[in-house]
Amino acid sequence: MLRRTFLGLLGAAGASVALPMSAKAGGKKFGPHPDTQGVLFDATRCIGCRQCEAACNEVNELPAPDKKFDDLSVLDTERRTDEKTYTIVNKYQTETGPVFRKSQCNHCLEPACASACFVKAFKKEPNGAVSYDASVCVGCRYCMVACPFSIPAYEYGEPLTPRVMKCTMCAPRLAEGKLPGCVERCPKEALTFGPRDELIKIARARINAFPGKYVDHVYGEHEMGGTSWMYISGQPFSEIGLREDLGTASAPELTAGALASVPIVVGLWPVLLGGIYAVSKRKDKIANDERVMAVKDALSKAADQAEKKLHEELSKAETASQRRIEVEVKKAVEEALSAKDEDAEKSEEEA
Amino acid sequence: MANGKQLLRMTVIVLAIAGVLGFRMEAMGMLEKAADTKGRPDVIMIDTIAKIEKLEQSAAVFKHDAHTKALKDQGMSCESCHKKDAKGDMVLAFNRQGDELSADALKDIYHDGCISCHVESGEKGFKTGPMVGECRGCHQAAPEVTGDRVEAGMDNALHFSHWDSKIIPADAGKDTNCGACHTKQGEEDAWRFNAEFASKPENEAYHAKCVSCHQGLIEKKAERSGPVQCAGCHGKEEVAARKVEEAKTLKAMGELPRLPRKQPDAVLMTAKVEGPAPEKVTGMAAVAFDHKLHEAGVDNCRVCHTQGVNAPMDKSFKAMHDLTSDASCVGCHAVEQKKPECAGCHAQRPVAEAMSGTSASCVACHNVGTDGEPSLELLAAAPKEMRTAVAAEAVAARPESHAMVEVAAIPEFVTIGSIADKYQPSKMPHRKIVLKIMDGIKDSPLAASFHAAPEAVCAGCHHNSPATVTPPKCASCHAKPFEAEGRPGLKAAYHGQCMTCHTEMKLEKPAATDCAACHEKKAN
Repeated sequence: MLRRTFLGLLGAAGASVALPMSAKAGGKKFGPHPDTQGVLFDATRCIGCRQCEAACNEVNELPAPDKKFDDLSVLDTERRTDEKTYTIVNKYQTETGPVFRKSQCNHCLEPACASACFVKAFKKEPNGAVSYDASVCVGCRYCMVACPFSIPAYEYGEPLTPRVMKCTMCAPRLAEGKLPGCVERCPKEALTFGPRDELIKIARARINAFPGKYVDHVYGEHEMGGTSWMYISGQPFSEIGLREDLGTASAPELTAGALASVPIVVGLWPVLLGGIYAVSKRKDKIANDERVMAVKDALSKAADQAEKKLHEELSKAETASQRRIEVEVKKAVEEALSAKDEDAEKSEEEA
Repeated sequence: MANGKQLLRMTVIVLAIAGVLGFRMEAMGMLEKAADTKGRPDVIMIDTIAKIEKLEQSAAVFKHDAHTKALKDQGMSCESCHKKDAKGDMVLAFNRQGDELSADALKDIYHDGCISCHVESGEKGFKTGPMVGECRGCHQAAPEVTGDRVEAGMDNALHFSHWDSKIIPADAGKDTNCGACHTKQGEEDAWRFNAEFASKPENEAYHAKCVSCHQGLIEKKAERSGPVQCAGCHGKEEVAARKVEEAKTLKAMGELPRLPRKQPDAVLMTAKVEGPAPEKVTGMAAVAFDHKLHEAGVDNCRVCHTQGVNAPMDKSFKAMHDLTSDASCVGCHAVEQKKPECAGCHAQRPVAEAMSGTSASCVACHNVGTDGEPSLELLAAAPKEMRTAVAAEAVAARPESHAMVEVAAIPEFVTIGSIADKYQPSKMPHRKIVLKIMDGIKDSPLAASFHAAPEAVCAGCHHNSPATVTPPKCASCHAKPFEAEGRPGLKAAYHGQCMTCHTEMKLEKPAATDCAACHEKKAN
């Protein structure tokens, strides 16, 4: 076989295999980036000292808080991240006493915010961080709607250049080879930084070493398709404010099917609607033509009938005039004849 | 006008639906909240016929203590309801001799017995129960009150008050009175394991024995007798009150006298051998078990003797070492370690460590016959007396109190400051902490046996290194965070050790978030 033919056949075979795959909308499974980094939060270690909040505020040069970071009374009300705070610690009352949980962007492996953003302001970096590019952001805040963890916040107070604000996983510090601010500051190593797959191993090892101490689940290993921040806890996760109803499919996976059909809709609708329009137009045209024809018909029929009538009338008139002529002729003949007779009589008399 | 009619029609329909639904739900007992049903220890659901055929009516709700009281008020006795058998003991079944009856006969017995009595006492002017035709008074599909009983439980203290009692006569030719309840020699197990009651439900066995005996004592006007009311054994408050009394008695006596049933003081547990003189014995070194000590430490014999005290013990590895079972040696010791004075150190030790082959804790029990005479071979085939003697010797050799490092050898203060950054170095009152820990475990024979070496307690904090009074510095293993898997950095190691221990020992102060309590904040 010729080399070219062979290669051609090979290409055709490849294409035929690839076709159904690419035609299947959204069936792709992405693994995490290799060697992607993450953080493991251990709720059994956290003491709720808010040092991570303070560190985060410093390294990201965020505005000073209303209440100092060593004021632990703020833990009495449940808080969430906002445009001035990338991370907060909440206190949850459980059977075994208070349990604390740090909350911040979970840096999903396939972020919902990024999939909802139509200007690609969000991007999952290979190092694990979900970065945000304010220069392209149009401020639609779809990311805030999309995020299952209610994390991104918006600078409503900025009149000219409002930005979406969320934890950056300290990407600039990671680039310098430093730890994220909160991880570095935590006095109890409740936050462990490292490669994500290592973190899962560490979490499993802790759960196995202290079986009575932990719930046998690593939150974030599979939730929402997996997150770079993961959690282990001694209490059910729903009790420390983590949603357990999210499922294991990532946001893009959930929406890919619907979004993949958009080009089809865009491509097919004009054709479809045009077709429907044309068909209905054609129907109208045919109906109109038929009507015109019918009128024409009716008109021609009426003309025929009128002509016929005229004809009849005319023929009737003709016979009548014929008759009259005949009568007149008769009369004339008779008159002529009678005149002749009189002449004859006269002549006879004369004779 | 038409609108008005429509509105009226709709209203009627809605009302009709609501009415029907409400009625249905009421009939199905859906409108009743679970919180409305009260629990009483004396509620018996009478459903005897259910064993024979399907019930026509719901089971009848019967408040036993209420009836006992009512009969007493009317000058009647138990015999109004309970017949006596040939031996003169009270039969627990109502108005019959406990013979098998047909469903119709049973129905007649209850209906005639209960209703006629209700009528009579009503005529006498007493408060009375449901009459003829008031079926739902007894047969309630959703009972207003339900049975809520705690286990009566014959614990050591309650057992003692029986076998020590002078009211229960001693057995013939003996100075013990066990025979009053344990009728057969060698069947002193809890009755649940007895042949006599094997086919009967447990509660029937206990009620037949206990209640009729208590009742007999009351009739004989004995100076003390047990309860005959349900609440006496099964009421939450009553049982709690009894336990308080028992605790007082126990305090006055120091400790309970041992049960006089010739149980051993010490038992030697060895590997099983075949034949009289084995050449070689495989298996672990023998364990000298301090039976006497454990008797006082458990609620009753069945904590360990789960199959009854005369049944052979399960000698499998799992039965002795199952961490998840409260009846195994290791499992029960693990429960002990959850006490605050132990948990400070032990909560931070992975469970696998306690059971791993590399652990030195095996030797804490398996240590008889490992060195010197008599050898393991001899012990395994030795007669029972000798084995017991060896076990007793080994038990006697165990330390009475906890081994102590010389106080002077314990550093008084340790300054932790190698990584001081935002805070001043911490001056830790090291000796005070050690002495406090020692004080918490000084009376525990378990701790004394297992912390054999005086330096063992040091290992609570100075872990994963040889037990010594000069342990390595923490920084020799703990340096930067996240460098070694499962090994915290130095800062987290210090904080983890101190804070976790304080939390586990339930120490209120200093709070984990009170940084300045341990190290002053730097003023810069």
